Amino acid sequence: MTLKVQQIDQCRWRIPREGAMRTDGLVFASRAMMEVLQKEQALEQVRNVATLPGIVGPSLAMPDIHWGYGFPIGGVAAFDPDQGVVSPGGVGYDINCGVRLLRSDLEVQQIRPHLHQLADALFRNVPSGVGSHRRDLKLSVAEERKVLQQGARWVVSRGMGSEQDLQHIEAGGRIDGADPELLSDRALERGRDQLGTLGSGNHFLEVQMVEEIREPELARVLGLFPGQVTVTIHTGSRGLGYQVCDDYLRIMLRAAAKYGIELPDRQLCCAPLSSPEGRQYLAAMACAANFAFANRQLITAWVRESFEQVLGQSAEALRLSVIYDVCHNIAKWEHHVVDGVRRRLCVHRKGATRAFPPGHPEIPECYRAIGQPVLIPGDMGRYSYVLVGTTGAFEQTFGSTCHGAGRVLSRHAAKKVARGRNIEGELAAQGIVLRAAGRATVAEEISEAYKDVTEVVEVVQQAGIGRIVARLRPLAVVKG
Amino acid sequence: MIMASVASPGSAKGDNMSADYNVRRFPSGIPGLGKREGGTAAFRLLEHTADIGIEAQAASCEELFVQAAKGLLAVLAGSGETSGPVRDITLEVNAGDVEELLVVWLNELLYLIQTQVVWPLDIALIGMQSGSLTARLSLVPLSGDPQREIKAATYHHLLVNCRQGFWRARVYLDL
Repeated sequence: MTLKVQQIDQCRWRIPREGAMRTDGLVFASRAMMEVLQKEQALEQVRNVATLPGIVGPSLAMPDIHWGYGFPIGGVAAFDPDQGVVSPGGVGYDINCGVRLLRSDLEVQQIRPHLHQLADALFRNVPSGVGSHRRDLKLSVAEERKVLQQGARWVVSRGMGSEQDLQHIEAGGRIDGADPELLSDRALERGRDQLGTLGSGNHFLEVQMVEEIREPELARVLGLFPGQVTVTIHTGSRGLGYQVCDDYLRIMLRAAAKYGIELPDRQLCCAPLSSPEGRQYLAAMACAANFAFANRQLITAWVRESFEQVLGQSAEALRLSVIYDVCHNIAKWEHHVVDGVRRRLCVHRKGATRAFPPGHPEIPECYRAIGQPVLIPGDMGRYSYVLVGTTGAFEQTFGSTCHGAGRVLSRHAAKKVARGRNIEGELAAQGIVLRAAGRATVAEEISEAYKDVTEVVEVVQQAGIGRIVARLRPLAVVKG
Repeated sequence: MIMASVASPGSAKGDNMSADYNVRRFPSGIPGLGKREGGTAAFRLLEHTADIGIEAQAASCEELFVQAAKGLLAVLAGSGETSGPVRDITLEVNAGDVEELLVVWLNELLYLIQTQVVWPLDIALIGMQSGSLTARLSLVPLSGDPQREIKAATYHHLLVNCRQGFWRARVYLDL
């Protein structure tokens, strides 16, 4: 099906309301990106989201948009509490998949001689790969329930991290309203031995250096300086989140029929936010989101342990601290101004990052003057970015921006491109040490499989939905 | 290396894997379903920007579900090895309709493989209604990891239909 797409300006495109759509689609993309998008199904997914009841404002897509399930990856949609719906497909299977950035006082030359050892220690201490788990951590049922309610705070209460860490996490590392009683035994079972694990696919752990600072004053507030060593953690809620999503999709298939909601794609199944099914999903989703916050907090503890083992200095002495931790698969209650009226809305971000502007009360006090830190990973061979949220994002996208580079090659196509090449050797030639649990993942995650994340963040900056602060370059990469 | 024989690297190219897989066929329990005349049971993997789909075809609905399961195993298969005693289990799966049943069936297999760290050597459907199925699986312990983590089979662009006695299914996996 051909979709009508109207160019608004250099980086904004409208999909005008027609047929069953209740609102326009609004896509942030360069012309080159749009040419690619028109060949795949992501735009149709933007249109499908626009058909859902109670949607407020346009069905949005960030510049890293690509074909997803139900919602496109990079999709953002806000819903009215009374007329609107919540959709597990608008959050995704990996609930609260997100990114955490750690800073240190180390400079790159201090770490270069230890890079292989450090990569080995991280690979050893942080379980990665398909069936990864840490043998010395097995939660009891009672402990797991506490994790689901307390999130990152549970990990800190066990001596792994500090109150300061919690202050530097979106929502303080804990989403309110979590009710473990609403999770199936299967979800609990799948989570029990996966806390503190990276998983596989596009999840990673990277030691990086600050390669370029674009905004020195903002970088100073974030504690970033040129040549500095940082660490990025990208993972989510593991099997627990996948099971919560799958369980509630089945509930929502029935709920959509019960409430007479027409679905252009069954993966968009949903229930009114005001219904028991809608409320229960949000309470179950909060459990999985809290699990993910705890997961990244535990991994942080093991990153600190690894640096201590290799460098012989304490994490405190290295000042290895959390800059910020963001969700990019989530549905959250937030207040936004729509047509001059302040409204409480449920904002779905599926592969999109919250990007609240300077002065917003939900931003940690230390960053409130500059805007919320936004962490945008690229691919393992190039770079990642640190941005801050803007007033433009708050006005145009319900305070949202991109979440990564976005894939351009299918996994099969990426493997074809990688065939016969020594990817590890190519990265080593660039000074990047790779440790990976699976060879297939390395081939599927080559740089060429992704858009150049610079193109994505440049569109973000041009559209005013984020402000670029710094670029980070990988030094050591751990992949699942 | 049983996994290699179940799903060789060639599977990623969308080859027909049915010859490599020991599948027992049982009579259909659904009136009007289970016709076997014409066509060849097979699956192929579909391209998706971030993930992978499975398209399966068969002369019966039971065989279609087995083909889809083989597609799932082909996506998972890697360098893992199987060893130890083979254990037979019976699995019952229920859903609202035949499309949902396909997703629930594949996710049930994923759950088994991921939580019990086992590999199905043999899959046989021994009963099927439009919203339920009973399968017998021969499971063997798996040492080593599958090559990929599949989060779930999804409902996106989900399709199960029967035209002129020939069954076809499409399901996308979130990786």
